[in-house]
Amino acid sequence: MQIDFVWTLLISLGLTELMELGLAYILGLRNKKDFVLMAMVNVMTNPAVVLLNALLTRKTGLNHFLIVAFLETAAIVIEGAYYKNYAEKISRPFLFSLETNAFSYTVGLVISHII
Amino acid sequence: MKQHKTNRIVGLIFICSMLVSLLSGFAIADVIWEPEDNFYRAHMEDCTYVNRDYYANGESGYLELFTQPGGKSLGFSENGKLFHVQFSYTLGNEVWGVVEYGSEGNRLVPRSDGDYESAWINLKDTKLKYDAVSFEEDHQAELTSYTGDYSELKDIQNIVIWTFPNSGEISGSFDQIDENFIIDSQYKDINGTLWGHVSYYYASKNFWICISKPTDTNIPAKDLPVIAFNSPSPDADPQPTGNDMTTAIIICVAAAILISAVQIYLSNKKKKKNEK
Repeated sequence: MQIDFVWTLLISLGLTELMELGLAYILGLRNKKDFVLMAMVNVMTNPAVVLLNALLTRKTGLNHFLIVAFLETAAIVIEGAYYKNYAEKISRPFLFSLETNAFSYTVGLVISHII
Repeated sequence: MKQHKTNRIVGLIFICSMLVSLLSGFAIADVIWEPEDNFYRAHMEDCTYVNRDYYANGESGYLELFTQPGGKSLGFSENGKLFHVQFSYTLGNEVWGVVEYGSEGNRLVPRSDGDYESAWINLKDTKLKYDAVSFEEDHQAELTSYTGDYSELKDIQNIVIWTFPNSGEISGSFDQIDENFIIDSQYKDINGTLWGHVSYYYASKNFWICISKPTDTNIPAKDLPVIAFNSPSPDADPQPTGNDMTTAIIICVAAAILISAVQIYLSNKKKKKNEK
């Protein structure tokens, strides 16, 4: 793993923040503290998911779909738990986490195929 | 008028077939296939045409593939896999070859159709496959001009084409040959079997036929050099060369998680305090 992987992490985090915060706004979220919370939760989960995905794929030879499914599920659960405990205006935290993650993952997948 | 029309149709068919072959990447006659590779495109003036096969044979038991000569590691292929090197590039004292590969699990494998990409390999981590060029280098002194009258090949069907004498490797066959079939040199092996080399015949280049047994498809490989491949150490995964930053990246990501978690916790604590 070399220096360019840091760029991968940063680009991935930047795009995820953009997409998830944008979707949250579209879904009606207006609370500034919840936006800050979302941004920080993404800093916790996104680089970890990208890094673990790369490491597990290279080192274990496990099925890539299984790795992604496991990591994305973990991210949804962790983010949902944080929203449940700390968010002010997110009423259905786990559903909200599922929606934002599904959206950013799908858009990310489309972008990576285009690039 | 009729002749003019026929010429136009023939010309049109020729242009169409040229366009189709160019679009599909298929090479007609002396057109050399070029790899779809950014480094090759940028340095094609400095690249040398190779068109030979190399076995992966890295010291660690694996061959490492790179984005470009001296570039980023893409992964590893197991020793013994056969890569086709179309062009080479010299970087310092090292010769690098451009290859095509695909993935199988966490290993890279030679692949030239379907889902494949280009990569560069350091040829010091390979073994050249013994081929027609090697044969001609080794047997130059034993090659003589063909003195026969083609009587052995007259009215023979399915003449077998070999990569070189006693290679055991068939590269095709001819239903029948005509007056354009010219044997430019011959070679007699230790068993007295006579072979003929043909430089060019209807788009087929540099091949051999067995003059003594032109239709025999069962001539086995003989006296080919045996390659001893380096074996990987048991339970040791190959490590990419270059500056490995895995540990540093893991520490940074862990730090990001920790800082964010603490920040969220502290913000919440402050909020609760203010509420009280």
